[in-house]
Amino acid sequence: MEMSSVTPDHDVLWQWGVLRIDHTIAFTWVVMAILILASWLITRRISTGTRISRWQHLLEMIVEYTRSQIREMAHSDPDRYLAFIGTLFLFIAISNLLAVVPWFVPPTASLSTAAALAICVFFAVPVFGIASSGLGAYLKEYIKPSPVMLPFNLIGELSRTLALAVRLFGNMMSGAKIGAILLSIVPFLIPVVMQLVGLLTGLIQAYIFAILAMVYIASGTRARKERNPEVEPEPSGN
Amino acid sequence: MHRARQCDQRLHRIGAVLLALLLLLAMAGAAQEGGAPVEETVPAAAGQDAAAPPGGGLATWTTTIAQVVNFLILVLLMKYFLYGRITAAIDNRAKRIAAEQQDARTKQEEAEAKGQALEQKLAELEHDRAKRLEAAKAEAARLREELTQQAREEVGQAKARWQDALRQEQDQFMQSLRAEIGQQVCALSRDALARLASRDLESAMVDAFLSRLNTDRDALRQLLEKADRGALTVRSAFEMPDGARTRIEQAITGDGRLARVLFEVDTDLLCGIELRAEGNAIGWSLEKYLGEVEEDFRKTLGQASGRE
Repeated sequence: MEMSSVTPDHDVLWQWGVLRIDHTIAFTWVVMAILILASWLITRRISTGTRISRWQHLLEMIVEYTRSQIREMAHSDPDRYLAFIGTLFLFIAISNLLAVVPWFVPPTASLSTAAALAICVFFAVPVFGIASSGLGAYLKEYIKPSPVMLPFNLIGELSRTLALAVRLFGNMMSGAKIGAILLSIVPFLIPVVMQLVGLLTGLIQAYIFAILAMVYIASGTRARKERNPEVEPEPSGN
Repeated sequence: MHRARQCDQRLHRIGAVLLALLLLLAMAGAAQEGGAPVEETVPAAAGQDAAAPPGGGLATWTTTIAQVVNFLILVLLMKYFLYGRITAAIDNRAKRIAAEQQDARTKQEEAEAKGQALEQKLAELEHDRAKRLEAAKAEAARLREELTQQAREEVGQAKARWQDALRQEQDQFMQSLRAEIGQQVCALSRDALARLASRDLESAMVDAFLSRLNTDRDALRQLLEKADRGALTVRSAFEMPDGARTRIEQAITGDGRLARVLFEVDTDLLCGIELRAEGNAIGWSLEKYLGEVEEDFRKTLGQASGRE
């Protein structure tokens, strides 16, 4: 099996020196353009009244549902994590849904994209932890309850993030791999069914990716809150 | 709020530092590759760089870093174009709805308070109206009683005046009737005596009076005893002739009693002669007869008016 049939990273469209544009980056920009353009078109005439357009209604439903999911996970103000988690979900979901468009290669089918998102989540855990409790307090947590525990804490953090990355990679690549395997076995009818199933699994993968990211961010932040509850009181009523 | 703002500022600072580090890492990786086509692989666990044969890697390091940068840019743009605006709209709507609900609650409370005040005022007005109505009824009853009493008194007065007037008319009528009857009777008697007995009425009345005195000596004696210190009065409707006066004086003093006898003319007697002393009298006159007739006539009139 050719690597270019598995990952779009090897389909280079333009290259100048170290700079190059492959299918993954190009289709990522397409998805980004769609997301940003749709957001700008819908929110440029945003209404704060009770009479709103159906598109604004759709976006508000998505955003509010994302906020409620984050609130259930983090038990704190969801708006801090909304942009990161929501963008994760929308980017992966739109990429996977656009897979039904002919000649469109979803950037999420690239291991580079999955790894990039995993790296983002890897760094998001300490970033939100430091933002929540401060750099000093965050680093001090590694030498608690005693400096002897420093290597174990570091191994725990790395292994947790490694498990997250592996899980994300497995989730993102499983659909494409299963599809490729089935295509090689049964070339008729199955591709159509797989396209339909791909729509469902694409949304499920987006949901799983975002939820897992939020779980790890929340667990990192909540672990520090449980150990040091006076760092930031959770807002009530959320 | 201050804590959240501080947290957001830290997020922005850390994000900028990480972005710069990633760019530096990408530039360093590209410089190491020396401009050759990048065909490095990224293992499953991101962050570990490893060489790979051309065309054999699952992922490329530069694409991975580019995707990280793309994603971070996408997060920033989506935060500006989507989440910030949508959450602001939702929060503003929620605040406005909460404010409207609070305003509605306030207005409802005010309306309830005004409703209670109006109900209280209405109850007071109803109570005042009932009180005024009761007072008006009492005043009307009192006024009706007063007017009824006044009307009764006026009717009673009118009735009394009418009865007085009727009585006066009756008296006048009876007097005139009495006078007319007396005159007619006298005239009739005089005419009858003259035609039938060739006598005049006055001498016949003197004879009848003398006969009465002689037959009713006890009554005459009682009169004389009462008139012991006074005089006896003989009243007649006509001027008593001297002969008749003498005969009457002799009849009175026939028992040897001393008495002073006076003679008076009283036209009210109509016909007749009487002997009077200290309120008692002996004799007969047409006046007495007419009195009885008048009494009978009055009784008849009274019965007739009672039937009406």
